Amino acid sequence: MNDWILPLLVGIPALGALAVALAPAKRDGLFSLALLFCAAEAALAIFTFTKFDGTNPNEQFSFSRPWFALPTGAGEAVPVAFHLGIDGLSLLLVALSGLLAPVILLSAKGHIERREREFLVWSLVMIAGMQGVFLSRDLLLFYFFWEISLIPLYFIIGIWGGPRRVYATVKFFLYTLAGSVVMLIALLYLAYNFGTVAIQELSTKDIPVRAQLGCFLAFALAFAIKVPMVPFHTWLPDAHVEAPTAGSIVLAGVLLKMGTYGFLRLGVGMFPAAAVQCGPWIAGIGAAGIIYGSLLAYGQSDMKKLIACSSVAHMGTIVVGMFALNAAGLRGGILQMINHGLSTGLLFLLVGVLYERRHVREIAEFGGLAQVIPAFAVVLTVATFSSIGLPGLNGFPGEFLCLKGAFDASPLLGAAAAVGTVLGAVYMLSMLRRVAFGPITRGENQKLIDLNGREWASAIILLIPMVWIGLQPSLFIKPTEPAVDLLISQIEKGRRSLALENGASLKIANAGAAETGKSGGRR
Amino acid sequence: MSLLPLIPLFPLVGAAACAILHARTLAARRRDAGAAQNERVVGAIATLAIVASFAVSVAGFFIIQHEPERRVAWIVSNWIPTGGQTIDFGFVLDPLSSVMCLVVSGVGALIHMYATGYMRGDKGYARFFTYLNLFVAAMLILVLADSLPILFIGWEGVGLCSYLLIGFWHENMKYAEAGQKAFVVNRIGDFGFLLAMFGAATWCVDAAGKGSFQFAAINESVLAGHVEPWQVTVIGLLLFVGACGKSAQLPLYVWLPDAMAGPTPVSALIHAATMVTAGVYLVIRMHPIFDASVLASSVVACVGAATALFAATMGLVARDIKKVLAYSTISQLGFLFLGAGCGAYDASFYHLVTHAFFKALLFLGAGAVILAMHHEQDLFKMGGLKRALPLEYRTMFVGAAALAGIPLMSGFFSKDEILGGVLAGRPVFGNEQINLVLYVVGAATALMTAFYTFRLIYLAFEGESRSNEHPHANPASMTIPLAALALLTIAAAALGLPSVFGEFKPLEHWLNPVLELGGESGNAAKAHGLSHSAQWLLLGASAAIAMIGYSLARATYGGGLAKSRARAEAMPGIYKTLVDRWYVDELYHAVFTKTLRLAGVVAGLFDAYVVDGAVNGVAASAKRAAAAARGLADGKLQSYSLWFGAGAVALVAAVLLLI
Repeated sequence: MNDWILPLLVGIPALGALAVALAPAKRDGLFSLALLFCAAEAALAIFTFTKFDGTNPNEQFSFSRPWFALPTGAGEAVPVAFHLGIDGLSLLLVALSGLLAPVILLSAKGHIERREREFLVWSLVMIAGMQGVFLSRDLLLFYFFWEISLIPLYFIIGIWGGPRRVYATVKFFLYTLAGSVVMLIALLYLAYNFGTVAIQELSTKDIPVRAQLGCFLAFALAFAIKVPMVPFHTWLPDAHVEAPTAGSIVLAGVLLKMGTYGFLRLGVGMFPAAAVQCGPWIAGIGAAGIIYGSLLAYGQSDMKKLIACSSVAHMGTIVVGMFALNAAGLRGGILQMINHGLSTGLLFLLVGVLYERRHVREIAEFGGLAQVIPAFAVVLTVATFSSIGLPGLNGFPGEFLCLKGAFDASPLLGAAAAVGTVLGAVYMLSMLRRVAFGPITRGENQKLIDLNGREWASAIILLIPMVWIGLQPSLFIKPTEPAVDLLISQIEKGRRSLALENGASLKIANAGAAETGKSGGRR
Repeated sequence: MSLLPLIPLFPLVGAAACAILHARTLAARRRDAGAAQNERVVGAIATLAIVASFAVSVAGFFIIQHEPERRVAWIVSNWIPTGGQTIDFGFVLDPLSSVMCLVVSGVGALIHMYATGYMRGDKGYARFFTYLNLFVAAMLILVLADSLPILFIGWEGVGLCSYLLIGFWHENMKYAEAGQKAFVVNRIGDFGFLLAMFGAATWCVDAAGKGSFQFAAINESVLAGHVEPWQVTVIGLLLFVGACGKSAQLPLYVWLPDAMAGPTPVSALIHAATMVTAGVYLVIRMHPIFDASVLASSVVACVGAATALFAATMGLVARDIKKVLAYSTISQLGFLFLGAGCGAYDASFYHLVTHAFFKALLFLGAGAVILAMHHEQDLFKMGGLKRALPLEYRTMFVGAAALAGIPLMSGFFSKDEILGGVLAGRPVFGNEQINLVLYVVGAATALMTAFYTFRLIYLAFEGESRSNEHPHANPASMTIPLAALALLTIAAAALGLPSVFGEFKPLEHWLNPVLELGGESGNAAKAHGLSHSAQWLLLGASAAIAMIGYSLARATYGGGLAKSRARAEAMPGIYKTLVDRWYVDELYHAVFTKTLRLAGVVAGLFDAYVVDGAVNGVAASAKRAAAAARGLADGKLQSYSLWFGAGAVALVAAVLLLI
């Protein structure tokens, strides 16, 4: 019975897409149909979370069927399996993706006025693709879903986006595609040299350190673009600004996490020696991203762009935590992925609420909204303080663990990353103040209508886990522990093989030095 | 003890109830039902919540007397599993936190009662009490916490409430800005706090090499010498950075004068009596760290002394009645750090308690004056209020006498204990001469304090009225707390009379289990001790200083504004510098705010032209190359992607082949 949970997690939205595409119903009927599938998806995701055995470090609810074989020039073909599994690294992300599914649709209800059927189909395909990425236990399947999830967003921004949507979509598509292609090459290299594309199997193979480094860098490029890490981040603000609200929520909420998740699952999991070798550099770039992204955010006048730049900073925090390569940092990184999805998702939702009413996103267009729409202002305040890591809300435990991990790896790294807590308060509170407080400067804002039932529903779906994680973080951290411990033993293995490699090359160098010494003596 | 969580729980529930009532009021207003909010219900719920907390605190006070180490703890383990040192959600009631709980909930209850009258008719009545109750809950979590991260919850919680309450009248952009400034400046302090927390957990290990976030374990580790001296110093200095933010010390004090934008009960509760003392509390709570590091404790003492003097100078000329009290608060907090830095923790805590009473009293009195004067805050436009507001006058006089250090008032003794502690305390930077300098700084500050305090009294209450407004009387809900605080101010003297009056020192004896961690060194001031004759000499000096300050104020302001104008004109340079607050705000604005804004703009341009320029440049050259190679005019998306992809493929193939 349990082994059907995961295929259903991918299958429900996929079937939903098919049903919406073929259904004869009119507009409202179509929407309700799609929402039904999303609600089922969310319910199943929560069910998965509650059924998950948090003491088991390995994959659970496994579903594996042979898919096809990759022919090789010589020797045996490489078997490819349709292999889904869930463990502590993916559990929270799967739950988040499921939870966001109805939010995505609810947020779109007010915006999408044309070609609604297509929009619903693409949204559902996207959800299926994302779940596939987090559940795949086979590299080729992972790659398949990775690419699948790219296409719907291309259309969502390209068709329902803002005035510069074509530029934004092409940039977004090509940029991420460029990364994917590089990843594909590394993937094929692995398949042909090690005879398997099963992630678990590759993780146990002793891949030579130099090959690890090459593959890690190839994968890292794809992930760094997706996260996005500085300097590969410029596609993100453009994509966010042009995307409709639903696109922004899914982009910030889940899609970016495919990059950080990939770093964990594939980068660290399969190439631990390379991860250890590159870790300090990547963490350093992450810390630089925190400060750079914060400065960028402070300079923005467009709300969406500001939040997009803040995402660059927050994703930097996650990267710093993960590449501290210790328990606190890894746990923090995993938790912070969820936190960023929730708080940034809510922020984009709220910007969408304003955009729907005023069709502008400039901060200067607003002011004094707390007097007109107090409920909106309250939710915006909560989202803001969640984003800047106030204890009692979700942002705190995640950020705290990331920073602690960073500090344990290197106090200076921790200090650099902690600068983000100051800058975050500066730009987020500035935005909150200029939007919600002060006098009402524009007549158009006098008659704004406060959150309606649909908007409340999507906000509450996000607010509940935000408060829950804030009050009881252990409930969400504990199930990830065994998997993180497993990853840490993998990292230890990487450290050992790296030390062995260095020892060997040291020996060679010593031998070389002795040789030259001898020859010098002979001369 | 399962009673412990009740202490912050009552105000938390109160906050939730007020929030619900506020939401109902808003909904009614939106329906145009015109239903007035039920202020009585809201006020009663909020005040009773704090009273309930106070009752539990009193019970706790008696319960711990029968405990072997005068402490009880309550723990929910593993709140955040970090993978290393776990973070438990734990409270501890010991002599130190118990007195803090009593002060916070006791003074808090009086201020809540006062606020039910002060805020009457405000359209955000229930919202106000939501924040105020939430604040008390956070403050109680802060003092009850048994570890750094749990204290940090309260620490940030009070910061949030401070932010919300400073900007309570958010329609006014200036007020909203003041709230933001408070939060951001405090975040700079929190940056230090966070790092101190990580450092303490990592470096302060027990004999088995295990670290912890808990105060008890950290203090023990430092006392046992398991920590490198430089690490202790780093932790101490970083903790003090956090304390400087919360307790408004140089150079992070700038938010507190602006914080006066909040309603006056807020200034009394948060920005005088409770929250701002959190930094001092933290230093006392973790005093073994400061005992172990001469550098850290000396920095605490010197920054405290400098802040005390510096803030007092600005208090001399401020015209806004609340600003005078704000500078005075900064200055008095400086005194607390000065004492703590010299190891006179008992004196520092004694003054913390008396200051909580008399400064809350002064702020509430100021609020009563402001309300009676129809929201006039300018001292130069008051005068002669003695007749119209006799009770306000008498109670504020008591508060002023305590602040100025008039003999036999509580503030006189507690301040004198600090000054004595400075002389007898551990040598600052290992040099006793510096203690002497710090004593002189403290004495000079005391002189200024006496002067500006009575300046305030004379300007507001004596002489002829300089206003056209006719002051109206205040309700009993406001005057009763004033009277109660005045009595507390007088009675608090008994908590720690100098030893020349006998060894009746209930506060010090009570705190001994906390302050004497690590033996005598934990109470350095007492270890040295002052002879009785020296103490009498100091008391005499303090009394003389206070009387001189009082006489100067009387001579200058006793007869209206004429003399003070003449004095100001006699030294325009100094006067203007002080009125303009030493131009520190302008300096910070130019150096930090503008630099940050510039950095934001530069980063934006760099991002658009260099980083994104490179991206677009790569794409454009790929496109050109494709067009050239294939001779196609329409090679849009396909060639673009093809060449981009091909280039990437070649690059990675090259990398892989090199392996």
